[in-house]
Amino acid sequence: MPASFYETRLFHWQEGEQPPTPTAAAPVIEMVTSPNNPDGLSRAPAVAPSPHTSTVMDYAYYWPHFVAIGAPVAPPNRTVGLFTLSKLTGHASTRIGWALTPDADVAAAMRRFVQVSTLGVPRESKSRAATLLEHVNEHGGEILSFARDLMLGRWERLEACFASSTSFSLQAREAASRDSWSAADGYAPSPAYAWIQQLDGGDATASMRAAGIVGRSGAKYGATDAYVRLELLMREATFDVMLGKLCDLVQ
Amino acid sequence: MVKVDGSNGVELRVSPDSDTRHPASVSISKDNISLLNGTMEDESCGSHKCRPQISSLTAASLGMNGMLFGMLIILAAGISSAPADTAAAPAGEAAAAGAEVAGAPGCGRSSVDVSRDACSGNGILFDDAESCTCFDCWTGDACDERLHGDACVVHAAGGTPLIFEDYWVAHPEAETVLRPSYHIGYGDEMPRLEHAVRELHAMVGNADLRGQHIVFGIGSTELINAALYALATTCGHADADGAAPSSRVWAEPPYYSGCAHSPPRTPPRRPTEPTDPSPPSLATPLTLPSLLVDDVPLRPQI
Repeated sequence: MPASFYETRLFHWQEGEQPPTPTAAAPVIEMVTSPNNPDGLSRAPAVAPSPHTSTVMDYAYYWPHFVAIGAPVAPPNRTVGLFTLSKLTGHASTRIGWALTPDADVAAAMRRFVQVSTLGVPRESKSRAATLLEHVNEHGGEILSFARDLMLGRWERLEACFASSTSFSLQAREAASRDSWSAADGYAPSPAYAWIQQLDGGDATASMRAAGIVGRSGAKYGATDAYVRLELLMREATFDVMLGKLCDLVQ
Repeated sequence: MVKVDGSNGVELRVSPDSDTRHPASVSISKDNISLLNGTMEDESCGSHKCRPQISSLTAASLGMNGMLFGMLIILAAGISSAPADTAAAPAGEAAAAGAEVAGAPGCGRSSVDVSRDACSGNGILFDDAESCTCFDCWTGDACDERLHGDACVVHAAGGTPLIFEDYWVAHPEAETVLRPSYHIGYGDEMPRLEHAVRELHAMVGNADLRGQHIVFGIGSTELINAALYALATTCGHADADGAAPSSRVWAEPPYYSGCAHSPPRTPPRRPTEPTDPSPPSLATPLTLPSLLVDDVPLRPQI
């Protein structure tokens, strides 16, 4: 086992609004989540391409129930794309994810990491994941359309609620774009989270909590506490209760 | 598996076809259920244990074969009468939809997910749980008491994808059953899973896997760490012994952070190597921008 397994000198967190410039002495690995959490916006890498630039593309939310399916992603060299069972079928505790990379060296190093850190992935989880994915495939992705219909309905009701609000604003969704998943001309995103701003600058999380909704503060996302993130992936009946409370608060 | 609720007993619903919404009811004892379960476990299908066609259980356990010949029997455990509150309707309808699902490919069995039935449709009783897990704003042993006002708190701080639960309640045939002898020992490759992933992306059209390697991990959490390790140690980046430059990990705000506190603005210096020319960092708490990490709600019991 390499000594480096016990150290993390290999990389460190770089905070900052502006993308750093990669150099041989200080390479950069950019983490990109697209669609993004918390705001649901599509994102592309911001760091300049170079021999010292690498990218991790987190595609956890790139599924038809959250966004239009445009061109299929194909991670290039020095890029790793990530997907997870959690946001696809809901089986979060099964703990199954998969990475895509065309780079054989990177794939081998990743497998080495998984082998050293956890001696692989539990067979039970892989078996359950395989059964679930085979079901999804055999049913033509019916669960994805099921979830899309629910998410779209939730967003339409959310936007109706916020339309007349002068105290809170809901993030603007990106315009509808070409969607290969449906026969329709396009599909506007239906993000997994509502990213809400309290317009007077007050603590949005506290306001939500007083109204009976527990959200997560924008301060945890590199934003201010005037923002709050609410998940929209709950059961339908729970969403209905939350929507009622939310409408009462913002209108 | 059929969940037997000791307080409610077991109800056996008999209907002439799977579409009937008003089946006759016959009460049977727990001993019968034990027999049913024993019968189920004797049948197998490929590498999976399967419950047989429920109708085949009729003669063996109930001696009612003449009366029930040709009928489909659906077992349901301890069905409570639905509360008058209309808020229970969506989940109740989903449970009803689940009751109409019959037959899994290759196994020829019928299966019903009754996990919500003992919880009034407002909660779920897992096979290995003692009591219902009530949905937000419901309480009571059977989740039949609605919470109002300040007592009703909706938890929306996590990212737990419960939106899919209705679907899976209606599709119990996608269950996983494992024999005790299944893959004893350490893991190995699982081509079946890789094939399913490739087929999935081809169907959805969200990724082109031609020329791509697939690496599985224990959730994206492990894969993020694996990717950072791999990208930092290959192709001109630091070597595996850590002698080369430390890579900087950066994300554009706002990004997801699993940590409640901000990361240190300056990586801590490595005290034992003052002459190290690169800006080394020790094991700073990883504050990763993934949307996937730690989207776990810490929920109080209601």
